[in-house]
Amino acid sequence: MSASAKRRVCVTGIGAVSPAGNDRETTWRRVVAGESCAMPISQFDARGWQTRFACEVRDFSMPRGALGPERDAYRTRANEFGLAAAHEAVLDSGILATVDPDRFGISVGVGIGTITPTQVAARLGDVNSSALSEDLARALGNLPDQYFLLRNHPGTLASLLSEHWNARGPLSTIHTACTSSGQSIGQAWMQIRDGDADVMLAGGTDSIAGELYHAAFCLLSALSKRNDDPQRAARPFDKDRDGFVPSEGAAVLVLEERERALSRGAKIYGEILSYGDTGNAYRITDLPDDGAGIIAAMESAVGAAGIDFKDVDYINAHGTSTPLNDRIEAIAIDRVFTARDAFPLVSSTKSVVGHLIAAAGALELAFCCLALRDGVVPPTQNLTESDCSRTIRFVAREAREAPLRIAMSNLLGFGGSNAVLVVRK
Amino acid sequence: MNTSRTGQRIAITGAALNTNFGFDVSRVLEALSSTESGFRPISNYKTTGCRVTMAGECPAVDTAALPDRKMQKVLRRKDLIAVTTATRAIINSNLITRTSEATATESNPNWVDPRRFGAFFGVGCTHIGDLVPYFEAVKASAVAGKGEINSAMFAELVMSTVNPIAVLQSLMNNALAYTTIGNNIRGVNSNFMQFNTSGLRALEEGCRMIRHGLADAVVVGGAAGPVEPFQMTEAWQMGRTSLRHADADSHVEVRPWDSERSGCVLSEGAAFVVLESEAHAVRRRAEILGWLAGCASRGSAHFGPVEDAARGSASETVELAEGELNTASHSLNGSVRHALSMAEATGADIGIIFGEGNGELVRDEAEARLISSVRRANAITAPVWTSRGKLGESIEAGSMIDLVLLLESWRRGVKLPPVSGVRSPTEAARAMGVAEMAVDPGTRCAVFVAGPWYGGSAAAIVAHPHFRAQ
Repeated sequence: MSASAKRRVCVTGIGAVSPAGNDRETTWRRVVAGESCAMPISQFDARGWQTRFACEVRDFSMPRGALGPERDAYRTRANEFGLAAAHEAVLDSGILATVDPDRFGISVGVGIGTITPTQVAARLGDVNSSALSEDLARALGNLPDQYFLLRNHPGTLASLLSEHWNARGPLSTIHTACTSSGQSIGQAWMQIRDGDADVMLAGGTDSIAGELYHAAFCLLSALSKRNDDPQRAARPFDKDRDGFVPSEGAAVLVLEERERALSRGAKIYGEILSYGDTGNAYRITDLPDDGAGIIAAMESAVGAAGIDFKDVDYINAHGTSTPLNDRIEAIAIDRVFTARDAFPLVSSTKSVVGHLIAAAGALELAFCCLALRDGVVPPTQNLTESDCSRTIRFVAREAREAPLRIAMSNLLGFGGSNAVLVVRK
Repeated sequence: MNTSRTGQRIAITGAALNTNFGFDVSRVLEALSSTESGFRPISNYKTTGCRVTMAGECPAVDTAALPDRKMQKVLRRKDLIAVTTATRAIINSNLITRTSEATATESNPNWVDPRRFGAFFGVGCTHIGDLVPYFEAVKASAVAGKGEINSAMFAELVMSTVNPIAVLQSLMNNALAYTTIGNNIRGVNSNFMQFNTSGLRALEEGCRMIRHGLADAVVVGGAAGPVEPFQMTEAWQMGRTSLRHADADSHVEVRPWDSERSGCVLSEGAAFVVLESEAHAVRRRAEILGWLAGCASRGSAHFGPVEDAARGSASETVELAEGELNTASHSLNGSVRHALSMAEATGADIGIIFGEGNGELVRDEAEARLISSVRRANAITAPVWTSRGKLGESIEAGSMIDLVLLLESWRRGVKLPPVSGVRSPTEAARAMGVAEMAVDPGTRCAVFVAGPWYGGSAAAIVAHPHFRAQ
């Protein structure tokens, strides 16, 4: 997806809520410092669980002005994160007084929800387990909360944002697992380039730190079991990695047509050059051994950006800390870059903030923008010895200062979607 | 008339659907003209004691179309319907993506490079229903009278009783994932979840990818599986569902835009089409079912005018605030205007409008007034049609189902019957131009509109028949 069209797209605002902090700069400082956010789970009593830690957002409260009181009924943990991140991004961009509502759109990637067993139990009432569906339907019909489903619908956050910020342009909600918010940003980028909008709020939100989804990922054996040392659990590309650390949070970026941003003297974090979007057509949770899908996405993104592979200074890898993902992603990076004598710095910020699933892409693109701004590559914490690649220039344990001009963000999702975004300073 | 801003035509070369009248599109088209009802007592789950007992269920799923029979065991019903329908659309297009199917890949004109084949879906979720496998553990670990659970016991029960496959079954992008896996689709892809506009949004993005040269072909469409306890109950609680079918009356009918309407009936459904660049379609001499000429979507910046107005009982007087209608009208009008502009079409080019009338009290009234406004603003005189009187409300799939029906009526040169269930249209419906007589889609363009009823997103597309473009 090429950047050769006339309209170019910049990032002019960033908002974040993460386990590393409830705003952009606090989050970024901790990510650069490499301070792991993994802690014993506080949202429920995790004693007896296979994995008893997570990266949780703490001490969070929605900022005033992020949502009107008339929509209180639609607040969920994930929606609140998204609303707060959008609030920070909008204020950061200074866009509000300048934007035509008809040229202002929303595109968000959302996760699988924040419903808790307690909420489920409350709705089950006296349901008899032996006649589950029958009793369930009857019990549900007798409950007063008629907005339970709508509140938890994936499309609700985008709608709330559209209403709250009076955005009447394109409106989208996307779910493709871990690539959700990468795709939401990629598509928003295309919509601005095509002239469908001048400004888009694009990003994602997710929370899998509750029991139900924590249980789901335990069942899939996808989580680290390093309960005795949570802060060393997320160790992407390290030989001792044993799974990812569940997390939660949101990131929203203000994407703006470049000429418009320049004309109003906006602060510009970077320019999105291209977006690579491919599918593996392989398996739901596994990646093909040759990394073909993510290789195609990276090659497509670099080609469309009109740059050379050697021009990429930094890759924020998907790097989940699962045995398979990291091995295949490293193979792919080697084939795309090392084989062309290109040696970008590579790190995975999931080592600090954990895996935000649907919000990961947005937060990691935000990290790319901030890395370009500050000339610093955040570290892959806990990476002591890699069994994935001997040639990739991993930035391990400590941040590295470097003159950065172009960064890439990689995303690989359950279901086989891959997304790659390239951003230039 | 042009077909896109870049001058690149978007051909429709494959189509398939599944509805409460089955997956044979000819049969579905015929059923629309019959007295047969497609709404029956729910069989997906036991409804004893439930207020809503009738729905539109797909009577059959064409499992023969499954790329891999094993998928039948791991896919939820909604996803099964989606994957089989999308695959049938691909089969209908004659495109080949697997080398084993092509004796000589390079020389087979129907071969499409899997990396140049994309998939864009608008597939709804059964969000809470996906948690059913955990319910036994929730129940058993609930602490009596405290409104909480014993987490340790819950964890132990989940790990010992829940099959991990249940987790994989609940992934919201399963329909997209299994379709791409089963059909070796390796190109651009995404999955939209924007309420009733999801299907058209998928179609819009699929078109965009072809226009930009990022794909030669894409399979796009929508699917919905609302016939499960949670969504059925929620719809009833929101006052959307017809109470007229609360008994076992198998002749229940939905009456879109009618003064006697009492609500919608939720239905399962799916519809997918294969879009293809003109160059690719012509090179392989594909049968072109129709052309897509324009697509657009906008937000209303209002969470949902109907949701607000419908708060409370469905039997209350319909009242719509003018401000709510203005925001909704703005988004719908903006979408139609943009889509017409892309198509370089005018109101005079339009032969039929496909609306979403589904019998809901507030929503139908709002839509009739909005479409009237769209017709006035764009000098359109064409009648307004919907299949929901017979096929029910299948949310993300609804507009795509109507598109597939239109393609079939174009192909066969037959008229679409009068809108089912309309006997005494409201004043607003008459002003809107509800199709009380059979409509000949003829050689003119069709406009599809999906309104901002829930979630504030509106979308429109403009399509025209193949022979018009010759």
